[in-house]
Amino acid sequence: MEQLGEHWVAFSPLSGETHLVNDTTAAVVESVSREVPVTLEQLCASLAADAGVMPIDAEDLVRQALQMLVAAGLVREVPLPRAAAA
Amino acid sequence: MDHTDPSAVQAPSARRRLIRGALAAPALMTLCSGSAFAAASTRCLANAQTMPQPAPSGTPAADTYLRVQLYKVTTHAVTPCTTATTSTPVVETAATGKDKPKKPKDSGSADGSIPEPTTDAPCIPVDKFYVKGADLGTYPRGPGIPSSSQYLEISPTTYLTSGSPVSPPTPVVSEGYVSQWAALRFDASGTIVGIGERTSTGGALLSLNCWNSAFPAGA
Repeated sequence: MEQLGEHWVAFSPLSGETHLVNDTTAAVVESVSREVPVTLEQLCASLAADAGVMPIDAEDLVRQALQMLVAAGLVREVPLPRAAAA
Repeated sequence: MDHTDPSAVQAPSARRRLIRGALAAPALMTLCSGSAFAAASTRCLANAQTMPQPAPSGTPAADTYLRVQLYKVTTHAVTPCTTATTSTPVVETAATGKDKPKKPKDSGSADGSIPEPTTDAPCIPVDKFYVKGADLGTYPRGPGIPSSSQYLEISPTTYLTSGSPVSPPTPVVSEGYVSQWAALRFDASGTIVGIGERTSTGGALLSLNCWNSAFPAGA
């Protein structure tokens, strides 16, 4: 993901498309890890801390961002590991 | 002395920028695919090859087609020649059939020398019209299209080119652009394959819009 002025551009190898995203969406992409999946709660806590808001206030926005990112092929949903699901 | 450790320079981060402002509504926009956009832009080149030609390819009026201004060059039909204001040459040929010139009857030089032979052909101005290769800019050129240092003769009435590209004619009596233009014809790859009226070389007229779409300035 590369910065382009006030925005960010990200290329999805899955779709072959290039996307322009804002800071909030880009922060979600930065907060997810390729190696270790993160939960919605972890994402909200992390980004809320960055933005200086309560996690509950960030949840709707993070959820919206994730929906867009998954649809664009930039983020992938994975099943929870057994330990986390238990 | 200031010294910046390159390893300390961090990549820009969207998360760090969140600290500076409130969490805004997320946004994601998909950009056009470059290759698809390029393919759509060059399609007009291909389409032009099969479409009927909408305008004459030579015109004295303004139009929107890629065209080049005709260049008129006036030379003398025969050189050397004698203009009307010059006295008639004073050379005659010996009656014996020898070509050696004799001394003029009425105007010998003071030292008695014999003048160099000249022709008595009158100077007849001949106008020819050309397309200058230098006026074709940086467009790719196919066979028979003049290079930047060559001219290609074209009829100002039929807009048909004739012959092959030539060097600029000399000596020139007068030269200059005229208010007539010949359209350029291109193949599907954007190469000039013809000038003026369509001949066996084919090619299609292109509008400026099509050209600018397919070959944006600086691309």
